Amino acid sequence: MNENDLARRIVGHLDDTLGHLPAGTAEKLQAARMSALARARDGSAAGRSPVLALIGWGSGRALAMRLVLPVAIVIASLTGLLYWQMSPSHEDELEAGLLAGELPIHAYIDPGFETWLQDASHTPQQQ
Amino acid sequence: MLACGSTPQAAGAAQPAHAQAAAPAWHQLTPEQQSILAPLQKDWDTLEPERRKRWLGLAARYPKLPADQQQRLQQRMQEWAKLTPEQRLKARERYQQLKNLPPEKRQEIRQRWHEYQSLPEEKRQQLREQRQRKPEAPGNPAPAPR
Repeated sequence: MNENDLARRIVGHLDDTLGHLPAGTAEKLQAARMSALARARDGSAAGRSPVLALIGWGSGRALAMRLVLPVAIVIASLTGLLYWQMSPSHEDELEAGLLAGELPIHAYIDPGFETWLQDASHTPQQQ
Repeated sequence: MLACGSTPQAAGAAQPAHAQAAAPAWHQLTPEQQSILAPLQKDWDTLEPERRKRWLGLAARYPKLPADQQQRLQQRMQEWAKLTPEQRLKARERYQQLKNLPPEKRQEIRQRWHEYQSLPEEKRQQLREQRQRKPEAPGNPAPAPR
């Protein structure tokens, strides 16, 4: 696989899967967001905590952590998803599904069938 | 059983030991793998190591499939092995796009395939030529029934 193919596949995978994140991942992202928002609401109070101030955990650092953590979770989740999608295991699963599926292999590569699908004017009654 | 690993022209024999371990010759497969991959026996040792690894991955999934899917998978092994890398890539991309469609759309496409199959060969050839005159635009999504 050359560099262009890889880039094309990465873009394709991201496009294909952005709207199909696994439920668990979506929930984690949502939980991280809600948690970050809750912490942001309480931010000023936490920033003034004498205990935190004592250990040098100022409001600026806490704010940075509040921003960094959710972003890191999002990046880690997307990276994990991408690796899984490009992993040999996922490719095996894809090929097994294709070969064992109801449509024959030919249906995926026959240019005539592509035209048939795209042109709504083709109907068997017209033949 | 073929003893292709012992022939000088066999791909497996020409590889270093570590490559053989990752992409074994036919005689190195387990009896179960040989049984599942039987349709590929004749060509196995000429397949690229990467393809052999992929087939072994499929063989590992095979026992978990329902009987009808196992049968289809075995019937299509030879056809799949004979495709060019470009055709396999295209088929995989189309399959993935189709897989992401709602069930009713997938059913519609299966119905359209049966209709397409019932067309006279001349008509299907005409549609193929029509497609070739109108090459697919880059990034064009999978065709979906309207």
